[in-house]
Amino acid sequence: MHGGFEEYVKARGDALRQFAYLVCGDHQHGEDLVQEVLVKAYRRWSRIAADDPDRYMRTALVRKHVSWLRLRRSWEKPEPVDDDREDPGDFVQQIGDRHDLWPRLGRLTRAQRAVLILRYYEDLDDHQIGEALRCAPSTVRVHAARGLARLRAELTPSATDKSGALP
Amino acid sequence: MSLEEDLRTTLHERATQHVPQPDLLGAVGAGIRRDRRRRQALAAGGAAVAIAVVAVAVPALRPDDTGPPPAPPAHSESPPAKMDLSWPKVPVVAFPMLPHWVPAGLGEPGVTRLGPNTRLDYTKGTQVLSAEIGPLQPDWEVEAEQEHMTTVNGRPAVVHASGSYDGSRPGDRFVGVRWQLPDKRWVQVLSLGPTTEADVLRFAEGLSTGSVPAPPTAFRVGAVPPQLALQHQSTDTTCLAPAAEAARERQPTGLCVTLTDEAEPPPGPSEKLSINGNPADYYAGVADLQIHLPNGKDLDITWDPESVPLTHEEAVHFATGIEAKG
Repeated sequence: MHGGFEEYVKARGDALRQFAYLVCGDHQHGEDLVQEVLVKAYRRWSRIAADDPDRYMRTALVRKHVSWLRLRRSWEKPEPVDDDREDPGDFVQQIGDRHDLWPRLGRLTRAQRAVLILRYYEDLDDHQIGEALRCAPSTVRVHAARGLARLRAELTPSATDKSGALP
Repeated sequence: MSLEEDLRTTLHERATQHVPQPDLLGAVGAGIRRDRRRRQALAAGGAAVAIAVVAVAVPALRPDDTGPPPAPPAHSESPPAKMDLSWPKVPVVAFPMLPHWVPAGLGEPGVTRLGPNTRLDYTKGTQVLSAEIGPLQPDWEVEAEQEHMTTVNGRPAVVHASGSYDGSRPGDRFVGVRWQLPDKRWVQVLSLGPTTEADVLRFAEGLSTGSVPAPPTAFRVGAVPPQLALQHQSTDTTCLAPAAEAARERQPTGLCVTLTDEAEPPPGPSEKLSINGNPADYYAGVADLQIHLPNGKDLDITWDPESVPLTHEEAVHFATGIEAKG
């Protein structure tokens, strides 16, 4: 195995696994994703290593999971969320809601979830996220705004989504 | 703590959870060996398939078979099938309004077709000023902190504003204004950057009769399956879709061609083809055909098989008609 590749996997393997887990929401799927992307990266490692291997891997992982075809398909809808939650009226309930964020992230579309992870875990800007997902920064902002609005609405049922406000 | 801060904290906590993991290097090493064996087997089989495709498909190129027999191909070029494909009669993409005032220093605009809508974009680094017009109401893209009503050229309009947004720098703000024309089309102007609300409204007021043509695209599509209309067009991407879908969907959909630095190969084996002399990979299972151009870029052709059910021959014919520029 190429020496530089081996060193990279040893040094960055855990970070790649963590990112893939966040993107997939599942450790086993994340592990499979990392292995598959690393195997393909090995074929052209000299070219990847000369550029920015972390950026390449992050892009490849997220594209593999959120293929462009899925990203642009209108039929990929978020799963329905139970509406039988009690109104969060106190601090304890709000703490519970925070712990509830992770499973609710899994109910967003893949594109919304990927955008939020790239923004709030990787700290990428909209332009960089758009490059990773092959979409315009404006599309990134739409995914982010819809994802955040959905999370917010579900954590606070009384809140309303104003995104459809009309003049 | 805000939702965004909660989210950041949750993601970092989740990522650092300790979970027993297998030996990654060992698993990747085994995967590389399997990949080598699979590619060697595919290379041997792929050559045979390419020869078979040429042998079977050549008669289809000459349905009237009255001329001299064709010369044997010099290499394993996949021939386009003969079918009725033509470029749909669509107008040249242009933003159908002309801005009479633009904040200084924003440079040349881009024009993007978004289904039935069209958008004009000025970008400078992370600063964006865009205007979109069409029958579909666009998204605001950023959550508003304040909303208020105003008028744009006498039409009632709503303004969404926020003193910050994700990625904003000191002095940046979000301002959006949306109104409806008498013909029911929506117009929306969005600004992310230092442009003030007054200047955003000045830009909005200045949108009037005229048009801004789209800049040249990176490639030209030559042959199109019938019943498809232009659905999306930007510099590097063109999509075609059934007319009804093109009329209701802003995001790219249908049959899309994208010029990219490096197309991501989908899972599974590909059929090796040659399109206009360029090596190509056809992934039948996921409706994806990738052409590897001499300049190192890839043309990635994808389609939604539900709305655009292309046969192998149609996909190859469509791909053969694409002319990359430069």
